Amino acid sequence: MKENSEQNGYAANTRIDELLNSFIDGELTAAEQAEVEHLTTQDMRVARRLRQLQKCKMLVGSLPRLNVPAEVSEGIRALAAGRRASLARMTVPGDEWAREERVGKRHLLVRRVLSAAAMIGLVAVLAGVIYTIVTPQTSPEKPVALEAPKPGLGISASPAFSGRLELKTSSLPEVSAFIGTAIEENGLVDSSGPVRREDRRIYSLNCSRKDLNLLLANLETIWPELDAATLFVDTQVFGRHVVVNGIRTEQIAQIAGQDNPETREHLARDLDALNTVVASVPGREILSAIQGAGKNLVREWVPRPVETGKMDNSRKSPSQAEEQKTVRLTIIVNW
Amino acid sequence: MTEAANTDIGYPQAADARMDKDDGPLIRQSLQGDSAATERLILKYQNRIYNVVLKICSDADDAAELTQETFVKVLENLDKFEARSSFYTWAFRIAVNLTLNYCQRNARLAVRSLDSECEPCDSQAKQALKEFLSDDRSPDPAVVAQNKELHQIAMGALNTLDEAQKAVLVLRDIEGMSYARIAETLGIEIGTVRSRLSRARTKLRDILEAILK
Repeated sequence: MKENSEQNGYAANTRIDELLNSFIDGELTAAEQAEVEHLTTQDMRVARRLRQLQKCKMLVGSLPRLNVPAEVSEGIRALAAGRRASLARMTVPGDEWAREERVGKRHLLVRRVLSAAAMIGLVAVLAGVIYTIVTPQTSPEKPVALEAPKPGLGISASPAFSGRLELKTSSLPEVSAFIGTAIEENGLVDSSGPVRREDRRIYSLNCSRKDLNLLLANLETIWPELDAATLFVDTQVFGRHVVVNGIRTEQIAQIAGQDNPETREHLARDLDALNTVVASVPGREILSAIQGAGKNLVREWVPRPVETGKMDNSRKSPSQAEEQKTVRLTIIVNW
Repeated sequence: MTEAANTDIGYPQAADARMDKDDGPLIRQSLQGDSAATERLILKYQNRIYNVVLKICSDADDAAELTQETFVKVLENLDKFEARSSFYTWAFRIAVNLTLNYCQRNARLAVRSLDSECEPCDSQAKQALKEFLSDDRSPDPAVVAQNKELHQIAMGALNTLDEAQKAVLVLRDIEGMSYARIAETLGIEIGTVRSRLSRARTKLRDILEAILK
């Protein structure tokens, strides 16, 4: 019953709106026009609604009229001249018109080719970067513990990842408290502890990739609170690093997970390019789509704690624990 | 004269018939190879078509491209133009169809905000809108036309409509077409024009109200 009355009310409002809009546009019959005039004198709400709709019309109608860009106008004229040429060519064999036609067509073609090239370029960059990120790697991306070199086999340890993560936030106390707790909970507290300054906190981590991944998984919740996150990946050349702007947790884990320094630097550059492209793309749909993919990546490859049963991996010899510390990361949280 | 006529600041409807009448000789001369006539036809409509396309697709580069494409089609098919509708309607039909098809094709990559919310307005723009809406007198269209803050809000609000609604609204309020002409241009019934336009304008009103809250 109530539903019916609501539907009737909606239908009545819709009809009144149609009447008012048609009245504004001068598209009513005399009878309908009289009906609207009666309604507006009887009901102040209808009169007010009529005024608002009139103003909407005025607002849209007042939008500035722009002139078509000169180059477009020239292109159209050249085409028109080309058309004239094709008519004239039946009687007058003049090359002048044919040239104008070619100019017009070339103008159009160049514009189309340039647009297409720009689109293809953008898609190629995105595709390349996304491919690098999502394709299964040939080197095993298995639990990091397996990658640690076996002692006594004379194999040198994998090159360590080292870098600096700079986080900017307007709520330093909260963010640093969260990070501090996460570091503590993951047992990554450095003997020297965090460096506290008025405008920044500095945490030095020396840990395994597995520990880093667990920490990053914890930090993911705080990421939206950050104003900026930049990773400086140390390279093989002392003092030189690759900067990845707008870095996300799963990207840090990916970079740190690379054994080969060259691959790592390459990936870092790709991710920086990706983040830059994504940040510059108007609209957030693509960004959120990529971020969605990113979250899956985290789920997919950031190892979660597993029950190891009788294997008792928790107790490692000091040398084993030391060898697994392949990540050196300094986290700096700034205002 | 009705109140409606006072608020109509688009191209006047009365000009429709005159426009159609003027186009006939130009088309005939153009078909006979008179380049000056073709150029006059182009000059007459290029800015108007560009503005309609621009307001529907909301992107200056796309609008330029689509306007150019419209005239390519017009010039290519001028020989086949049978004058069953006016040249004016025919040219706008080509332009709007190209634009709507383009928007449809690009819908997946649309940059328009998916939550259909107007861009946030600054306080100055809000104040201008408040004054505009709360004024019980009929504002001077010339003054409104100079108000950049209101334009910014109007464009933002217009962009929240879907393209089909925008097309009807733009053809009516900017191009000043009659309902019958819009129906002919878009190939839809007059009743559909009436209801679509009403929905579009009512939605605009709701958006403007929401901005002030």
